[in-house]
Amino acid sequence: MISFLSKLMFLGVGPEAMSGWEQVLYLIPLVVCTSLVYGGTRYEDWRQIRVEALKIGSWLLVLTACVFAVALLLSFFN
Amino acid sequence: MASEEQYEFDLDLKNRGIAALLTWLVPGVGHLYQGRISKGIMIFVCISALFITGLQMSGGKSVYCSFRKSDFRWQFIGQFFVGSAAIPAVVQNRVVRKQEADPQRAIRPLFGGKFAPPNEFLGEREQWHLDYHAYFQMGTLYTFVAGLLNMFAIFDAACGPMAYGNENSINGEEKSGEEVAW
Repeated sequence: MISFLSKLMFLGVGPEAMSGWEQVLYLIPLVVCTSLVYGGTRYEDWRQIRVEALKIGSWLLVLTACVFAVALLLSFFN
Repeated sequence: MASEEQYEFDLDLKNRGIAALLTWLVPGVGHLYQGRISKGIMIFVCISALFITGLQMSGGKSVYCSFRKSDFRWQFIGQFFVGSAAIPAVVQNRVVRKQEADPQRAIRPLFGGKFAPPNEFLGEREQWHLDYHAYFQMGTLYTFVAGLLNMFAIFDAACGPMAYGNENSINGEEKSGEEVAW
């Protein structure tokens, strides 16, 4: 993950680096870290932490996809 | 819900105040102090990686404390929960504002300007946005989320996990959602 994050940091500087599909990559560390830490603060047992992290991670992805779909839909009317 | 006695019997949280303070200062260190090594390492890696990545993306500019009307940095409320960054930011804010109050004095923030609020007279904030583009916002988001996650970690260090132990499974058999108590 550290290596992935270091790549992400040096993806490029300037607006072009944030304008393509690459910007979706910035979601991955946020979702992974959020779900792991949230799962970790709910349970002590690693098996349960893993299950909770997967559940929260999926929810976050679904929620983000819904927000993206709504934003995309609205952009057609503008 | 598990009682206080159960917590103390099953999980030794040691001195809760010290554990919470340590976690606020450096994410996961309070858990290491409590002997929850693997969890402490996981929290440290996740939160530090997010925070440092965010800081790096924005050239170290996205974490600063400022509560002026013209530059109300509400994101600092989230970033504040990573204490090792919040303390220098608060100190820098005080130093810079004190220097700004004296027009004869040049504004010289400490530590080479790290965690210092932008100089309004030089239009530094606008310059940061020009220099870092969307990375400034992304860096702010990363550090903000890292701070909020550390708030959960502080709560976990002080009070233990929200749903402790193996409550939702007995001998490997999962209970239904209604049966699971908080």
